[in-house]
Amino acid sequence: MSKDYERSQQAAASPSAPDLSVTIGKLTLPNPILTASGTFGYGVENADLLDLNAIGGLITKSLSAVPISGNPPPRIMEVAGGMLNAIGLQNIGIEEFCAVKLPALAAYRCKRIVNLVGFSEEEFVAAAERADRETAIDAIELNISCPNVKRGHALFSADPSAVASLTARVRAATSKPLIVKLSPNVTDVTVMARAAEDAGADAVSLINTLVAMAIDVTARRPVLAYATGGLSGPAIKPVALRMVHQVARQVSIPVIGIGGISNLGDVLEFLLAGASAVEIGTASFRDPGISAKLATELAARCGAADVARLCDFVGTLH
Amino acid sequence: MLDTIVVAFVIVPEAMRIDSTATVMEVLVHSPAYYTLVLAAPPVYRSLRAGQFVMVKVSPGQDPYLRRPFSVLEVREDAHGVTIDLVIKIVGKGTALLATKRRGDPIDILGPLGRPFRLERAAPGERVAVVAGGIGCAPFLLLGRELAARGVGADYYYGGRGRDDLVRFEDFVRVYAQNGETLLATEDGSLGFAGRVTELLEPRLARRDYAYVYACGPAAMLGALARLAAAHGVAGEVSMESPMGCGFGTCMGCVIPHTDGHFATVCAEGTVFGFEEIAWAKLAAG
Repeated sequence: MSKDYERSQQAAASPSAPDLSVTIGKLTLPNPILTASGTFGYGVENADLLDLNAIGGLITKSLSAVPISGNPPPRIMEVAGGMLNAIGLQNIGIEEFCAVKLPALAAYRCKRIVNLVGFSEEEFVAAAERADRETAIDAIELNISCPNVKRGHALFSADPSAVASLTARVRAATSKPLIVKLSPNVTDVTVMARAAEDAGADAVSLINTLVAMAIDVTARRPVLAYATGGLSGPAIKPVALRMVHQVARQVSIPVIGIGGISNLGDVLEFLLAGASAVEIGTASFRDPGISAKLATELAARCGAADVARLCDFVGTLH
Repeated sequence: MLDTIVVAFVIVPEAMRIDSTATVMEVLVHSPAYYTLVLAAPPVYRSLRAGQFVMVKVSPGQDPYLRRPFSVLEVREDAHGVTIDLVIKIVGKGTALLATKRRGDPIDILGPLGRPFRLERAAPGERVAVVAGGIGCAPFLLLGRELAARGVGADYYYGGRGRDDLVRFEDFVRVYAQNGETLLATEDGSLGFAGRVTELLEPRLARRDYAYVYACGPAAMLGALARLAAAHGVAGEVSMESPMGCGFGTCMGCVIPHTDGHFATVCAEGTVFGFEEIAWAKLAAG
């Protein structure tokens, strides 16, 4: 049954229900609420705490071609309005995910988006090729905020030609909808966004975490074992919003907004700024059911405001 | 940078977990640093087992942002419903804020969380040692009742810096009197044995008085206890603590090094681990 037919049936059944669907390349999300990578594992372990049938999509923990152990503790630290993390990409690997987690996740209605990570273009391509073989995987998001060991550990995310090259290679390796997740730790994120778009990305998502630090004054050393970590949570929302707004004006592909979203007002701000969809991250640690709650609240808000199609609301800043 | 160590685990929650709003029934102040919150909790907490914990929202706003983990000391049920006790030590912003709660206040709790102590490791008729360091006492009123109900003898070893740190010791004496005794130890000698609780325990371990050990407390104490138990050929398990992000197994922030090479989440793969599962030297080095 085609998606358009499904939607028209749904609209016919409840003509007043707002259409929250979002299209990203060939991917149609039933609503714009996604769970951010690294904040809901592989989904299925916590299906008792979040209704996976209510959210638009689940984005997995970053998956690599081979499993990664991650950093030694301490890995996290609470700070004002958020937290720092240096988890170190601990994950079970794309193979184990496909074999063990994906079948269980496929039982739910949310879209299944794998976030992929690698330390060379070849690793990204290997993971993408593996993901491409799974019909149950609906889309791929690239975590490019990691070092390229073949280019002196320079971050993919910091160099537009690295972003372009990586995106193009993954584009060639998969026909699935492809999202490139951008880092805010750059001078001009719009340059990276355009590089990803020109290289064939179907969408960009931003922002990933801001590189940050905390110091233990008594011990006179960084709190995190890795010294620095990524800042996330409400503290980064103003930066994320600004970057989404800037990028949305520079690219034609959909923009997915991420950064400190924890209530409906935040969601609406990002939509107005130009985001077609949003990812909820750190807020899930505090309220595991928040993503489903926001999807419901968004539908109610659109209904109350007589917004028939959510996509009509996106980017409508005066 | 890359690791070929595979982690293949499946997290299956012991029982259903829910996010709910509990009600504060009482705030019992024991000393400047210690208090108990008695909460009216939903019926699912009836199935909570010793060693499990809850993640408590300490403020409605965004500072502090994350919830705080607390082991459940006791679960009771009467005609009015289920209540749980959280015994808390003030160590920072979150624990200080919770101390200001009043009877009737709502309080958001997520739980029951974590893997509990394994009762099946001690057979009816055997005798075990239950060892607590300071606020590590937190799971042990419930464990005492569970062991007694199972017909397992249990002696409770309760150690701390000073007498204030042996919070609610009268309750522990009462519970463990069912089928054992309570031994108190303070480093400053203000209550019970003057010294560390491991000094009290060692001769009894050497005499093979105990088939198994259950413990909770500071990591340094637990590491020393693990070495002691191994030296005397006694198995046991510990409930660990770690700074937590989510408390339900998703952020991967609370990990400790497992002896099989992977980093294990304290909140979901733990809080309870066998002595032999924790890479104590690596943990201490961090």
